[in-house]
Amino acid sequence: MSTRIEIAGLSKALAGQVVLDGIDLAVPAGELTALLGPSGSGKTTLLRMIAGLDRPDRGAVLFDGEDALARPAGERGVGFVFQHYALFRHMTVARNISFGLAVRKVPRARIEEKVAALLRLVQLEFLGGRYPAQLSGGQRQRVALARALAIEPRVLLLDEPFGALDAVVRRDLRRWLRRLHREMHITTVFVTHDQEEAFELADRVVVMNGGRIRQSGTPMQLYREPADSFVYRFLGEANEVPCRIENGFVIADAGFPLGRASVRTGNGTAYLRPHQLMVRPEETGAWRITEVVASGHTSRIGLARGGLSLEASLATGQVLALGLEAEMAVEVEITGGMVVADTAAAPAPLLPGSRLARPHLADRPAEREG
Amino acid sequence: MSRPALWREPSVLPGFAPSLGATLLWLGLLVVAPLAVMVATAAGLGWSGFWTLALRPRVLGDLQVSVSTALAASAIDALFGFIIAWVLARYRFPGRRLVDALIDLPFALPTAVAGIALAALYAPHGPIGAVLAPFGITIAYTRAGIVVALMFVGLPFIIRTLEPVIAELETEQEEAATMLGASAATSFMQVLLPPLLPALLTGFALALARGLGEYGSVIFIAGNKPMVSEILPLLIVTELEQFDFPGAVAIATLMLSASFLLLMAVNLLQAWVRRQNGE
Repeated sequence: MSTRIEIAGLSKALAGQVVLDGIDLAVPAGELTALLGPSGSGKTTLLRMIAGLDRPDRGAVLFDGEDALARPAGERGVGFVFQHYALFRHMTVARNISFGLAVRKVPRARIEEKVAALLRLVQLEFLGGRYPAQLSGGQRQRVALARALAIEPRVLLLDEPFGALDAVVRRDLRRWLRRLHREMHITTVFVTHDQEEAFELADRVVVMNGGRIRQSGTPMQLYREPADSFVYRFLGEANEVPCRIENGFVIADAGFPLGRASVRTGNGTAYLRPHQLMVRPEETGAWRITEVVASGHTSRIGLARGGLSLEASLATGQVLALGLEAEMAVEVEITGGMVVADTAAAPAPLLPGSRLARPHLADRPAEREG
Repeated sequence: MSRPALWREPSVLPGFAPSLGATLLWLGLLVVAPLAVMVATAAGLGWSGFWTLALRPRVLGDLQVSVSTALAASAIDALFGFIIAWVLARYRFPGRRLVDALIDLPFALPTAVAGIALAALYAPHGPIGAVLAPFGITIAYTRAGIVVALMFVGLPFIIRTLEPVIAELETEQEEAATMLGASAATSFMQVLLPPLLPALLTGFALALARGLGEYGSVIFIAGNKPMVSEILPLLIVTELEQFDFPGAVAIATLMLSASFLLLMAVNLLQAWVRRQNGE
């Protein structure tokens, strides 16, 4: 019963502003796909077009090969969960869930059966008689989901499903939704700006920016082989270091080696994730700690060398064990990262190997060509 | 003890006792005192004296004119006021602020001015009256004229009570109904209208109250023919002009009771709707 979604050349401009620019995307049947991007990237518009709430200027949306755009929203068999749930405030939970069935003139006995089953599914058995205002945020979210599932949709779409919830509820609900999807195997697309949420939930993540798809793939693929620096930066915090590449050696403009990369000679930028920086105390170390900020089980370490500031992240336990504190001299080992040469769009992995750098290159003063 | 704690709720306003005192004093002076004088005077007529004066055929006929025209005008206002409030709350268009300002005009205009203008427009030779005359429709100097005048004064009440509530309504609710397969009519009746109904009824009650008491704009356009196109407030003024003070008081008391009952009925309906909405 799962439905395959294919999208081709979907474009939309609003008041001269390009919202979507030739979107091509295939969502395999039964998969859970995340549309990930910053606000204004077009992800919500794309979702609304699949639903039929917005119309594209050009392009096609196919459900199992059949033209979905030819049908009005209510006849596409799409369940939609709105960001703020959009529950009918003047109806009880049970009436909210039964709404889609009632407008389809489903017999009352069947509706009651169905509502009871859905209430069990979303673990709200005893709240059918409550009004939305009497529910918590997480409960409302589950009612909205039950209401969308009641019509037995071919496709389930969720717009920022956990955006309005606090962290703990969000995590529980995420796991619950993952389980639910595994049981029901309904083709699902959800929109989020939270990469952690996208990675934890989705089989496939589609990164969007400026109305275009920048990359799509499994979470692992995206993390291992980001298509460009936007994707890399969007998938996690990163230090940006202006650098030069000389014969495969990457040298920071601040004047010290970062590692090796298979990139031609030229200028570029190195991207280093905070957790890829190993810090150890060393009296003769070239780096200085500028600050230590403990935030729960991880700590942020501010580092400086030759006018360059980086941020490392270490387990707080390790910070305590090493006795790291501000103004301490330390040595930093770069264990990985990414390099993008100005002349090439595709990034190359930064390989550890600063110690292999030729001695005369180390600690050479900054000098940039051009 | 929960009560004293409630009373001592900290607030920038003076405490409960002085503010309740001010409320009662003010309501007493402005609302209750004049009405009490009226009712006391009516009581002075004696039970049978009051009924003889209040139940005169002309009084009952005029009461029927007043109530039916006020109900009709408020009902029509509710329909068109809803549409105007919807447009103002949901759409942005050039001239919107001008339209917005126009709506309050009936509040500010001396009602006699409105009455004269309406009479001129709807008179058989007036710009609108002349158009309608060939179809055998006469507005001015009939009951229809009264309804037109009352619609004019009542419209802002509907719009001003509805507009903020419509603006608060999320458009996502309609979209949710659409996604669930509801037709436009079903969305409107089952999703949009119920949360708006209490505000619509409030506007209706205000327009109705205003319509029952309206005098200035009506007398110029109404025919003022007893029991056909004469409103009760006009009869009160007529009797006062003839120094028939007891007669006027009896009519006024009857009218007060009728208005009170009507407004109470609307309030009960509203309470019922709110209960249905789970509020």
